[in-house]
Amino acid sequence: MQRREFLTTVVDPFRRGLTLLEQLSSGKPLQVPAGLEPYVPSAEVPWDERSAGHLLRRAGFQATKEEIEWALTRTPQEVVETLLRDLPLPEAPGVWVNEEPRYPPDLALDAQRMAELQRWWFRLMVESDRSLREKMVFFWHNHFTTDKDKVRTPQYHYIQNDTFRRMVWGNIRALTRAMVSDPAMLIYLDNNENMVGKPNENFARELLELFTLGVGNYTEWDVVAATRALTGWRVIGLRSVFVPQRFDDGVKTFLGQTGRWGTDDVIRIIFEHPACPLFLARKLYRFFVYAVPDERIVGQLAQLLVQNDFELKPVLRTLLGSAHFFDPQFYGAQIKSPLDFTVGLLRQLGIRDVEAMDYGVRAAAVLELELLNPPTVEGWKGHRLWMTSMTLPLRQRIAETLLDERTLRGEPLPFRVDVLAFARRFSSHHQARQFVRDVARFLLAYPITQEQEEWLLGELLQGAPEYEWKLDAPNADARVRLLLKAITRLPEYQLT
Amino acid sequence: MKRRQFLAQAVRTGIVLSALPALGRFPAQALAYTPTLSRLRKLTEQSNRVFVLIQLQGGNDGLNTLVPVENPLYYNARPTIAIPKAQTLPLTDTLGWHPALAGFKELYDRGELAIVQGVIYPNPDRSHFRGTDIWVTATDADVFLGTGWLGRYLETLVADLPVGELPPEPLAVQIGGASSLVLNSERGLLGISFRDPRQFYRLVSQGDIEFGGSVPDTPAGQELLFVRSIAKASQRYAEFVRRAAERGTNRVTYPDTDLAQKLRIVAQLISGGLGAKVYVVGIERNAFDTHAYQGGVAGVHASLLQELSDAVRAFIDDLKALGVADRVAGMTFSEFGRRVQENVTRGTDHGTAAPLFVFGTQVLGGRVHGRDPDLANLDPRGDLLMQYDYRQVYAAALLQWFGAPQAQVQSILLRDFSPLPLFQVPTVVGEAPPEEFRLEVYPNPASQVATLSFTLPADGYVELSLMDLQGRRLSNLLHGEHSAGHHRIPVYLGQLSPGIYLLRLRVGRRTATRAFEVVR
Repeated sequence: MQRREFLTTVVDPFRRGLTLLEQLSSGKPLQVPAGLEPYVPSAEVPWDERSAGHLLRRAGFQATKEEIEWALTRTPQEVVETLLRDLPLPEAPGVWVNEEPRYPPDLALDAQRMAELQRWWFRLMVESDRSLREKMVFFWHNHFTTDKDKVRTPQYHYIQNDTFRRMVWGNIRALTRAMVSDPAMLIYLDNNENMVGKPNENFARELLELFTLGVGNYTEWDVVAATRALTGWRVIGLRSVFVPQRFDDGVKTFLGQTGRWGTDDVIRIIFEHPACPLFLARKLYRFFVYAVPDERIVGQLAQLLVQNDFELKPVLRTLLGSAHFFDPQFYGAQIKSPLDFTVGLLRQLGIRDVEAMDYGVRAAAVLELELLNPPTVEGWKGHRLWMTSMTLPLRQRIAETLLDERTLRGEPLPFRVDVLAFARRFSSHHQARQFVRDVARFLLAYPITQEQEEWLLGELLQGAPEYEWKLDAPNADARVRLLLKAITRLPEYQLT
Repeated sequence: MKRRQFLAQAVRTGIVLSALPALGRFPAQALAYTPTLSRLRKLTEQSNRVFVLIQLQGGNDGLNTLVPVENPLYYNARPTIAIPKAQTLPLTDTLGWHPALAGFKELYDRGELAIVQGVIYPNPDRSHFRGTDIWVTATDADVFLGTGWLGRYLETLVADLPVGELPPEPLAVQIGGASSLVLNSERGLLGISFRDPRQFYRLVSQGDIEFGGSVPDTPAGQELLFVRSIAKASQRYAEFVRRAAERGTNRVTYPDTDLAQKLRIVAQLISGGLGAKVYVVGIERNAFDTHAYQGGVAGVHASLLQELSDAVRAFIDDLKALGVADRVAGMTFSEFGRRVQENVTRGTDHGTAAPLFVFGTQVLGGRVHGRDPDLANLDPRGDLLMQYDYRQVYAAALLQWFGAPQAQVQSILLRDFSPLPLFQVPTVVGEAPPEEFRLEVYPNPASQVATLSFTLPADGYVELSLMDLQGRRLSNLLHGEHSAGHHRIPVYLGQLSPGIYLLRLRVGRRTATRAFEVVR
């Protein structure tokens, strides 16, 4: 393709809610005929380990063996319903979450609590079985971003995280409204400081650009008007309060509507704008289905959002239960995020020790995703941008050292990686070839070739004849580790 | 025999290459190599030039960087964060350096740093992300392009490499940060990225991988190819990086800041002989997005400027001590400047035009391009108007620094931009396409005799040399004044070993190269 042609084919990706790099580094849009009608298992798309694994991997952080076996005893729609069931809220990481922030802050204590909060959240992800909730909480963290460099009080991060969980698939308009007066958000984007006559447009701009409409759907003057309308908020203690004296109650024209607008009006007007449901639908599509949105499906999802008055649950139910979502072209077509990778690795290997959570938080951070610390207000852009000449070898080495029960630096891990227990979950564990096939099918969203199967078998057998393989043979442990290292070293392991 | 006579005779009688004593020593194997333009470009004088791009993420506040010390409008607009004149370091009669920029001042005074004022593009975008995309893709505000300007330049260096094949050496290195679109090309990202070279090459998996065969043209198949390409590039380039890091060194102590440590690694890799032509580093995490409490003489913004200026000074001092300074230049950029008026939180909101810096010993330094910012004539949002299009700086880097031909620069930047005079032009300006001088070898491949022909548009000094693919000059076929018109020279290939050779024609400050093969 010539450059000029190329130029004209990339039309305004911002209206699609993508930055250029995201759009261009993620290939072409797909032509998948299946739409949002419910997925009905068929000979072409059977309800089997692959399709059930696809749903569970995308809705959670990879799947456990038990989850896949359970899913296959249910219909796809029953599984989706279970994934979307409301769960009790988890116990807070400590009583400190209700403690008023201290002035001056105790920096060491805050850092310790921040780490505690990260471990707590990471653990919720690892333990998130048969549930979409924690994946969705992360979606919101990556949407309504906040970082611990600017917002240094861990209580505020907990409050925001708790709001995400309470409103996880509730009403998106209500969640957006809640974010306006969320203490962490008020501090992170300076709306805490925005007052009549002294505007600070940081929050208003990102609200329009990154949270609801996307560039190109509003003007600079809408930023000015929204900034004025969003004045008045202050963080006091653990809460936010509206201070009328700080509010600009003058007349503003925002997105074509004129009035003495305040926060609620801004949110109402934004959600009346046709770009808003499209923007949100695209982001959901990219998160759950594929990096390049199918505009036909996005349009239908946006319509669903509007029909449901921005209630998210029915939209998720439709999307995850749809024939479109289950099209096999999408299996393995996403690149794992560091959370898919680290949380997923622990879940696949059956590691749930408390000590493993700190390890997991750090490993994800090494791979450029530290919870509560997105690189910019845009969050982690994800997909192909996760993969660099540094992070791919790091991922391979993290898996390799984990299987050696060592940290990246070579220190012993404070928990065990019981590969024999892992192997015993496979009924084929005494038949080498079938075992290799089954393990590969469980760990990889992408099928391996015959040559790869031979190579993996070689890693397991280390020269021994196939018939001699027994899981209770001496050294079986080491050999299973070699097999798992080889599988996690494959580029295929980075796909989900 | 006078030179002219010799030349005339050579042209008449041809050149007998069997008379060249050294040729037989080159094993044919070493020469039997796919000729690629990238290989050729390595040979030209300017080809070992390196460009360092420093991104200041978040939008640097230009007015508090170069302070308009005589302008009351500046002091009125910034009651709490303005830099008092007495605190600035002198730059011109009307401008002062931010006091944290002592390093930049020193470079400027030594002629190793140039300033371009008021740089942006028409209809500036105030979004960080869109703004950054515009800067790195080098497009108009309303044009969306998926490749970076340096990616497009680097791509021209590997134009004849089959798509999907990796260049023999990494063309670009990004130290830290998320992969930048600036290195993206239609061949994908041209370059590798790592934070620490030692960590990088130690990491690259020792274990082998069975990559499997071809993949179907499905989304997952495409993603798999993408991950494989990264895995292969890491494996392939890790060894280059290891050698360069081990051979390379630093001769000065750098400050203990993030940017300084990144530039230290760049200097180490350059001195170690890594062939990358572009390095990308930055101060990340939107650090320059100083909406609140940005500080004045001291504070957040001051410490960012200090980090930048001290790091670049240490870098240049190191490059000098390492003896490689003359082939390294660089520039800073930030997605936009900031609003003239400070906001209530003692910070500044997103703005437009701002100064940028070009640095290096071969920079035409000690100059300020452009007027002082005009604070009386602002755009409707209260932001500064543009003086220079940022692509005038890019055009200078491509034309003057890399010596890329005009037509190519126009194609890379999509339009013609008049370059600012920022870099010393290398002696050899650029590789012209062989068509320019109609440089031909016939037949090609040849076995006993080949005819070289070329056309000169005007009388001029001509040099015609024969080289091997390692860039060693085997013979000077012609050198001297030559008249305009078409010239044909028979060359007797004699005992030349079979393999591929390069013929390089240099006319004035232009060169053209043609590869040809000798067969038996």
